[in-house]
Amino acid sequence: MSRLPTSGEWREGSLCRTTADWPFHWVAEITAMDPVSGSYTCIGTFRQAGARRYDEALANLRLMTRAPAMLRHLQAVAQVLDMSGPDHEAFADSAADCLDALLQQQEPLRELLREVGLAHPQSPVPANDQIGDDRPEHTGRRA
Amino acid sequence: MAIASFWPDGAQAACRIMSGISPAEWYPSYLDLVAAIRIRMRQDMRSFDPIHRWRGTAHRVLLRNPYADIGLTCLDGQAAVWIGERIDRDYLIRCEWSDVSGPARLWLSSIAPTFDASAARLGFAPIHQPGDQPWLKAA
Repeated sequence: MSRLPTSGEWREGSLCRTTADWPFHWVAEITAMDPVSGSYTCIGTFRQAGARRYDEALANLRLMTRAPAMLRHLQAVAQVLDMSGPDHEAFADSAADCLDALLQQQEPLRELLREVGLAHPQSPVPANDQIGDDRPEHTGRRA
Repeated sequence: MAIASFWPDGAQAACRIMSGISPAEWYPSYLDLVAAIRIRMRQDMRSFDPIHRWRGTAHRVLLRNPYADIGLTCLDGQAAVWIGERIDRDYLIRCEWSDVSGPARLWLSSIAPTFDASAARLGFAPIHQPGDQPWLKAA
């Protein structure tokens, strides 16, 4: 039996405090957006101890939402390992082929590391930051 | 049975297709839709204020007034905008202290044509509840 995570691209909401005063928790919503099936659903709320520093909590949250992407990369690397295993049916008796398959993963892997790393990516506005978003440019183009 | 999950039980809904959009364009068009619903619905029903909540995992609440929620559900390439009586904790506490639910339902039935018209302007086709409602007959 395989247990698959929620399909689609995971997105984190803003990291917020539960209350203005101590003690509080860090909470952030995680949603799943699947443009192929055309779904936008809520996965749940990620709650962390308020004693954690903000940037640490934010890093934890980012790591959490990248988990399905990391799983995909692990699967891809495992496939390369299969290719290099003489006993495996996917064995390719060529170091160049294995290296080529590994290098194909390089760009997305580095992108992922950049996102969870210290560099703040140009992330899109979280869904729960949209309140009061008066978009003057909206002309009912897709309405 | 399957179609009922596109909007919360008891809510009045309107649907449109949300597929055939390229994956890169899907999220921006979703955000546009959310913004359009918040702006246009408030023009027609001024008592609503923007809010962000979820009912379960699929139904996203976009606007709220003292009686009702307006929300959006996007599943399997379909988008449904719906209006329904509130079910949140604050509302249920108010219901315990006074009869809020009665006036709320009365108000919802009076606002139904306005909601339908407003949804139609946003490109949503009104869904009329199926005629066979066995629970009504049993009552």
